[in-house]
Amino acid sequence: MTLDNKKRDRIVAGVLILLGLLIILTPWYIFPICEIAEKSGNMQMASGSGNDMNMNSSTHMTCWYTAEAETGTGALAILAGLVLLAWPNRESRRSLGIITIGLGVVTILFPTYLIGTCTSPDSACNIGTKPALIILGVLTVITGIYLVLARDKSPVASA
Amino acid sequence: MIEAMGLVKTYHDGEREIRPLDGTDFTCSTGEFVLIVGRSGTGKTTFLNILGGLTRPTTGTVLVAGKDLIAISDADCARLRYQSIGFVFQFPGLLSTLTVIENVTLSIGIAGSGPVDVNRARNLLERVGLHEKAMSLPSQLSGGELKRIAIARALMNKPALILADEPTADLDVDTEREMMELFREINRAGTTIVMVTHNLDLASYASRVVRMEKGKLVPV
Amino acid sequence: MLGLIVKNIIRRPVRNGALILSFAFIAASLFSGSYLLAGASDSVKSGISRLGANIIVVPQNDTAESENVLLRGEPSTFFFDNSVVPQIENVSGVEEVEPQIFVATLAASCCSLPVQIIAIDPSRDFTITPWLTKNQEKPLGMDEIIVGSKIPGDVGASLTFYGHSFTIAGKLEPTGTGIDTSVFVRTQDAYVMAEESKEKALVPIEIPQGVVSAVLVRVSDPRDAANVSYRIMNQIPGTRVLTTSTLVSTVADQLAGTIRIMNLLALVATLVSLPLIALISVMGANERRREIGVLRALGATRTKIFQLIIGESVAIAAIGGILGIAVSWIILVMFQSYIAILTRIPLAIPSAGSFLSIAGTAFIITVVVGGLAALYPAWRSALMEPYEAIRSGEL
Repeated sequence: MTLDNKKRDRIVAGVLILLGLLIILTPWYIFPICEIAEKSGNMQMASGSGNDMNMNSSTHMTCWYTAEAETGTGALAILAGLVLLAWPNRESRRSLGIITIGLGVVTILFPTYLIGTCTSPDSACNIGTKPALIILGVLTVITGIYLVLARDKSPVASA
Repeated sequence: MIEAMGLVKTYHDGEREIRPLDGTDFTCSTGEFVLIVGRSGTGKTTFLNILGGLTRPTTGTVLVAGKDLIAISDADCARLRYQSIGFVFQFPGLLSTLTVIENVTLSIGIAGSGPVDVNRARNLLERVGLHEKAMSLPSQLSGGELKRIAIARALMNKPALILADEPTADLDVDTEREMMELFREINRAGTTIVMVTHNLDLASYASRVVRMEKGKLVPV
Repeated sequence: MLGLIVKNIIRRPVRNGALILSFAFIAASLFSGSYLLAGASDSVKSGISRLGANIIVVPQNDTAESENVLLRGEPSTFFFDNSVVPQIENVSGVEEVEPQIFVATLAASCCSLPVQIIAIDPSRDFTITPWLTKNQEKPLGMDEIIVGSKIPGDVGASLTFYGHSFTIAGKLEPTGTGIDTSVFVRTQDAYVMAEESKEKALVPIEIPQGVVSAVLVRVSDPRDAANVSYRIMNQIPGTRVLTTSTLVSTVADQLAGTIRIMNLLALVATLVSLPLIALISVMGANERRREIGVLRALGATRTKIFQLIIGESVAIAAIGGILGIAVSWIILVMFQSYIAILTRIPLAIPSAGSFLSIAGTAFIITVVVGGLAALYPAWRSALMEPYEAIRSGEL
């Protein structure tokens, strides 16, 4: 199977869009954060920590804000993928690669340091959402590194 | 150097029997440059391969460099090829996953031991005019260039005998002349050469010309 | 020749990439099932052995609750009459007994999850107190408690249950069992707490006098544990005995469903991958017929050709194996709690020894599969006459 440059770039763009989609969907549907997990009754387990939970229903638990932030990062990843799809060339590949690495790092940092999740280690956001986001973040960083390092192949490519 | 007697080779293609060699005899002394001509399909390639121990005749005997190719073991035959015989096939036969220089030095990696003489490899590439392509992959080169690299590869181990099958077929006239000059040079240095070709014009380079006709070799 | 193998692998990324992924898949499925099972049984064993007891005697009617307490940390309150305690003591083979009372909290200020309070008698306790004196050098004092690993708070912090304030004197290591969400108090403090709860707590708790929830038993000869268990259940009506092996088998039964699915997946993965691998190997060998003929012309022996092809396949299988095991291990560790709750079984991280043997077995099997898959193509290629190989490659 021969892969010319444009085709390969388009495949990576597709991967990026997929990752972005997963990052958005994870905290809301795939590994839902505490508030949503409880409501749907998916898992019989503890809700968020006592300290973080407010009886006031107009504010949310910490993991909610992480989820919203990750929606942003995921959307940016999708945007990067779309840009790469539209302009598959060396320059855009490299710049988008660097940005993708940054997006991946941020995806990991939101639930760990920047915003965080609930304090109880058994809550839904810690046992499911956080690991999933970390893994997605790492995959995004790897995709970004690949984009930066990938070289243009000469005309007759070997498989 | 070479003594072949009564070589017969038969194939069966379904019902038919094909007999490219029918009682071929051939002798060749060390230092000769023998050209074998003839129409295509007359068994020249088969004959060359038998001389190199790459295939066995159905009947007949063949001695190369004093060794009976029918009698010796496969491992000894392989060693003989490594130490004493250099092949140039009709097709270039380079490994697509190796660079040019890796291809030239390939035999030491898989058949020999000890350090690789990279300088010799580079010199040979220079002799065939391709040393700036040393790091390229075969997929990036033309047919003629690949052919020349195959010639360099054959010369790598300083073989006593070179068996060449249409080595200049894909080359333009000037390059062909250069390569034939190279062959003449190494022949003068003592290497025996048996070369198959269509091109009768090359006869001037050789010390002897024979023709393959109806499965037998006849002098020209 | 090693160099040739390496270059062959690196410079054919698509074909070898697919093979590596197949092997990774096989390795991952072989690894994951055993890993989970080891994690489950390791956690049960460590939990029970941590207690120092060989046998736990519980009320017959509340067997399910008691298993839930120990395995899943789902707190419960149940009692039976403490007259069973001297009866158990008299059973032959019993060396020491320790009665415990289980009280579940509905909620506590520290924690949003319910907590299991276990009341112990420090003078008779042989499980928790020795641990404490080993680490703190003094026995449990008034209103002092020992907590499991998942209870928030460090040594010296204060926790309130049913309106009564306690101080953490020690914190146990994680076991993956219900011990992690348990709090050990002195029996007299528990009764005081219950009494005061009528005024101080939102929902009062009542602990009747003369009851016990579980009796921990240490037997004189551990090999005799099974016999002692039978004797206890026969001689004292209304009792049920839990041992390490019964708990492990309970866990194993529950895990069986999950394990069955995982084994099925592993089987499917292998069945699908093997023909794929064999196909790619054979196709690859056919494509490279001419190359092999050339190698022979250059002086390679039959053995070398055989070694080359098998070597490539084994190397690819090894890379795939390491990749598969590493990736599945990372995922299993990161999602450990999630899996534990989803399957409702306790999980601990298996010991280094278990991990090495599981990973090693999966790796070796994968590499052997790699070698076997290439056996036929390697043999065929080695035996081929060089001229035949070259000619057939032309077609």
